[in-house]
Amino acid sequence: MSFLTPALLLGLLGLSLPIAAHLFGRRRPRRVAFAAVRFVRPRPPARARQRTLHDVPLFAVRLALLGLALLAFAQPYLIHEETIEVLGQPHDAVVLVDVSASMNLQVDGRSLFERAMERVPEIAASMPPSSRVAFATTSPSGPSAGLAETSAAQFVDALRRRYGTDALVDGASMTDALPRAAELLSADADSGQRPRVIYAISDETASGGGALPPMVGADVAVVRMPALEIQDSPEHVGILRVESRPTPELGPRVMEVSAVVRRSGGGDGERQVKLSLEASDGTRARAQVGLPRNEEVVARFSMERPSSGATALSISLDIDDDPLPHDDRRFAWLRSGGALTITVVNGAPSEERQFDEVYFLETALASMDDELPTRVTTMSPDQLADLDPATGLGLLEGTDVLILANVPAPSPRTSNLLAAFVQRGRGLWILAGDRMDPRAYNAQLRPLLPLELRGSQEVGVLPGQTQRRLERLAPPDLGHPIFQASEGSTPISGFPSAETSTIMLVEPDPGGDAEVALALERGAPALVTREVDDGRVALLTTTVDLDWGTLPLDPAFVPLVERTLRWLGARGLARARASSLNAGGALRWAAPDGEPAFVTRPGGDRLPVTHEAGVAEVRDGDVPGQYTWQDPDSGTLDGVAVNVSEQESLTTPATRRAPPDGLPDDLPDDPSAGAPQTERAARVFERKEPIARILALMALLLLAAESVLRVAVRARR
Amino acid sequence: MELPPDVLQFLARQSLSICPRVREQAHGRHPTTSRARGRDFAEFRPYAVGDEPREIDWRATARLERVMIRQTEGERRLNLSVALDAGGAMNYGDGPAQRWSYARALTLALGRLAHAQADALGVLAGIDGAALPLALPPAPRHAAPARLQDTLERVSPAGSCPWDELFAILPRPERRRGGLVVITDLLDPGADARASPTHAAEELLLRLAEYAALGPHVVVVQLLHPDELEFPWRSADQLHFECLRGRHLPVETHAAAARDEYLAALREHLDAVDAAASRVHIPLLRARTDAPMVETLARLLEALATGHAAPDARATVQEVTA
Repeated sequence: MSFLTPALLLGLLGLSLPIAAHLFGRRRPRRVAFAAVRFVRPRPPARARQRTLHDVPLFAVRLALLGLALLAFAQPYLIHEETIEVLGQPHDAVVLVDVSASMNLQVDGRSLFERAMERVPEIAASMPPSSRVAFATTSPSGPSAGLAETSAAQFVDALRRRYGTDALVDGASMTDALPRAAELLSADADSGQRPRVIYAISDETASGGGALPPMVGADVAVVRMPALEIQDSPEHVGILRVESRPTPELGPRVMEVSAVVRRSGGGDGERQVKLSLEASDGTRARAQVGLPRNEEVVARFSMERPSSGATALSISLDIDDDPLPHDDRRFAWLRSGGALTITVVNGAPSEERQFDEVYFLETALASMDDELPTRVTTMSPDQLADLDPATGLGLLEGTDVLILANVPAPSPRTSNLLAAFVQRGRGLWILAGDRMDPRAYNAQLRPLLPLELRGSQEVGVLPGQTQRRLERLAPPDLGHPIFQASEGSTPISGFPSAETSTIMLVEPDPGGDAEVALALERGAPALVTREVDDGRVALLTTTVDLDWGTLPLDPAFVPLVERTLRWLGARGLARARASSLNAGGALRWAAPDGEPAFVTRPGGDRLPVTHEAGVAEVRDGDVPGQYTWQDPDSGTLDGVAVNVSEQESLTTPATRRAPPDGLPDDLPDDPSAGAPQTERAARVFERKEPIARILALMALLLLAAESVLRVAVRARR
Repeated sequence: MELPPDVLQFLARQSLSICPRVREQAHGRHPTTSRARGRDFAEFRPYAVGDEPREIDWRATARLERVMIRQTEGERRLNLSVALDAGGAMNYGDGPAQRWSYARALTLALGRLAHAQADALGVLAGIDGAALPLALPPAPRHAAPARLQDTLERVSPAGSCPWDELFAILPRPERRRGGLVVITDLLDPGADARASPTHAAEELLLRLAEYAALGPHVVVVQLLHPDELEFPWRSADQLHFECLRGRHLPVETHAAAARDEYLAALREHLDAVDAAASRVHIPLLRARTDAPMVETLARLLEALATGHAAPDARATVQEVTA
C-alpha cells in the first residue's frame, strides 16, 4: 500500500495524544454521598491518576477510527502491475477508445471508461521509438487525431472534456468504428511502409471488443486491449427494450406495454426486481419480476392508449445500486394508433404531377383516410441509396411499409438495409416499372423477392400483329389474406376496368412460399406475396401509373391499395409505435413535412430540427429521454423516445480468452523487411487502485463490532 | 407512604407489650409496680407538680397534713415514645431500602399497634440541630395513624440529630411506665465533629441507660444500609465521598484500595457499640434496611416484650477479603 500524500501520515503521531490523555489525565472522581464517611480513609492523591486503560473497546475503536481517518487523508492506494504488449518494432498505430454506453459499467467503484482513459497513455508509452500513433473513438463525433498529430495526454484531456468520466450514451460499436480508424492510418502516404495496428480499448461485450476481427483489410492488425480484465462482470440489471401491442380482449384501446428485462452476471438464484410504468401524470402501474441470471424476462403492464395524440411513458427499475444505471429507465410513446406510416421511394418522378409514378398511388392513399389513416413520406432512390447502414435502419424505424415504385435495383448496402427492415416485421411493396433491372433485383433482393423476376413483357401481342392487346385482371383469390372479407375494409369482387398491356414476368416458384393474390386472366401473376421472418413482401407486376395499364383507373384500385397496405403493415398497425431511437450523436427519424422546427430535449434545452426528404434530424441527441414538441395546429404534445442502444445493456462478456490479451499470432508483415515477424514488446505498468472505500468500510465494521461488543457485555452484566 | 400489605397482615396478629422494668438493686431483681388510674387502692404518695388534681386524696391529706396522691392498681395504659434520628445520614439509600423510609415504616407500624390497643404513642425527631415532637398522645382514636403518617411524610431529614435537645423533650420517666424506641444509624451520633464516632455512640448509649434507669424500657434500633456493611465499590474508580450530615470534609479515595480499611474500621466500631450496649443493658437491635420489614418488626416487638434483642447474622460487616 502506498500513499499519494504520505506527509499526512505524520498526523498519526496525533494518536499519542488520546493515549497520553487517557493514561496521564486525571479522571473526575465519582461523587458518593455517604453516611459512614468517618470510616473511609483518604488515599494519597497520586492514586487518583489513571494508569490503566479504561473502557478498552471504546478506546481502541476511537483510536482505530482516528487512524483510519488519517490514512484516508493520506490517500492510500494499492499498486497492481499490468503488462501491455505491443508490436516490438516501430509501427503506426491507432488507439481506438470505446465510448459506448456499456463502458459506463462500474467495477470496484470506477467505470470502464475511466480505466480505458488510463490505458491510452500507457499504450502510447509502450510503443517502440519512432512509432507513430493516432487516436480515435468509436463515436464519429468523438475526438480523434491523425498520426503524430497529438499526444496521448492531450487526447485524454479531449476525452474528459467531451465525455466527463461517466456520461457516455453513444451506441456506436467497435466493429463499425474499425474502418474509420483504419482510414486514419491510410491517410498518411508513408504509412503503407510500416506495420499498422489498431489498439482497441473496450469492454468485452458483443458490441465492444468481444467480436473484433483480427484484421481490418489485409494489413491492419487489430489488437484487443480490454479496459479491465475481469473474470465476471458485476451483476447488472437493465431494461433492454419496451414493446407494446393491442389487447382487444381487454378493451378497444387497451394496450399491453411490456419491458424486456435482463440480469447480467451475479448469482445463480432469481433476483426480484420492481418496475414502474410512468406517464406524464405520474406512476400508472407497478410490477415485480424474478430475474434468472443472463435471461430475458418480460414485465407486462396494461395501459389505455390515448384517444388522440400521443402519450409519453417510461418504464424504470426500482434499484439503487446498479453498476450501469443508463438502462434502468427506458422511454417510449404510446400513440392514438391507426395511422400507418408509409415511405414511398419514387423511382420515376415527374414534374407534371399526373405523369408521376406515384401520382395515383398518393391520390389513393389520400382518399382512404376513413378506412386506413396513413402518414406518407416520399424519398428518391438516391436518398434510399445514401442511407447509412448503421443509422438508416433508425431512419426507417418509424416506417411501417416501404414502397419501391419503379425503383432501379438497390445497391448491396441498401439491400442489407431492406432485409433488416423486413426482418423487423415491416412491409415492403415492390411496384414494377420500366426502370427495374430484373437481374439486379434477383441478385440483390433474392432473399426478399416473392418470386424471381424474369423481365417485362407486353401481353397479348398476337403473332404478326404489332398492336398491343390489353389483358384484364382475373377476380382476386378471396382465400388470400389480402382479399379476405374483413371488418372495416371494402370488399373486392373484381377489377372490371383494369387492363394491362405489360407486366413483369416472374419465374415459377420452386420453394412454394410465395402466394399469388391476383393474376391476369391468362394466369400470369399480378400480385405475389411472401412472408419473410416477421415481415411481409408484396410484388405488383404492373405499374401504379398508366404506363403499363389502367389499374389506377379501376374502382377497385383504392381498395386494393388499402387492403395490400393493411396486410403489409399489419404489425405496424398493432405496434402503435412504441419504438425509440438510439441515443448518441445525431438523431434522425422519418417525419412528414411540417413537423417540428424545434424539439425540447430532457433538461429543457430546445434544439433545432432540420428536415430533408422527409427525414428530421437533431444534433446532440446524446441524452436519453423524451424529445418533445408541440403540434402547432392541435397543440398536442408529440415527440420521439431516445434510449441507450439495447446492445449496450448486454454487459456479459461475449467471449472468454486467457489473459493477457495482446498481439494476435498472425501479425502483419513488415513490408520493408519482407519477412513475417512476430516480435513483441512488453512493458509493465503500475496501476494505482485507491482504497479509500475499503477504509470507510473498515471504519463502519469497527463501529458495528464495538456496538455489538458493548451490547453483549451489558447483557452479560 | 402506606405500609405494605404483608406488614398490615402481620400487625393484625400482633400486640404491643413492654416487659416489666427490672431495676438493678442491691438485694436483687424484682418487678416494680406501676401506678395507674384504676379502682384498687395501691398506696399514698406525696403530690408532685404535674399530678392530676383529681387524684389528690383529700382524706389522707387532712390526716397527714400533707397533700397526698391516691394511687390505684388500675388498668395500665402504655406510653410508648419513638425517638427518630432525622439527621441527613438517614437519607442514605434509594427506594424502600432508604434508611429514612425504613425508619418511618417502623414508626408507623408501632403507631398502628399502639392505636389499636388504645395506647399512647409519642414521636420525637431530631432534625438539623432541632428536636421536634412530631406526635403527642392522646389523639382521636380513628385519626391517629393517618395523622402520624402525614406528619412523618413532611419530615425531611437533614443535618445532624441533636441528641441533647432530644433528651430534653423526652417524657418524664418517673411519671408513667412506658417505653422508648430509638431509631438511628448510630454511626456518628456525636455533636463534636472531631470526636471519635465510637466514643460518641458509647456516650449516647450511656445516656439512654440513664434514662432507662428512671423507668422506661429503652430499645435502640440501629439501621444500616447494605452499602455501609458491604462497601460495594470495588472497581478502580476514584470516589469522592461527601458527608450526608454535612459535618465533615469530603474524602477522596481509591475505592478498591480503601474498601478493606473501611470494613475493618466499621467492624471495630460496631463491635464497640455492641459491647457498650451490653454493658449498659440496652437492647440493641441492628437491622439492614433491605431486610423484610416484617422480620425487623417482629424482632423489635420481641425486644420490647422481652428486653432482649435477637441478633441478625446478616446485619454484620462483610468479611474483609484479603
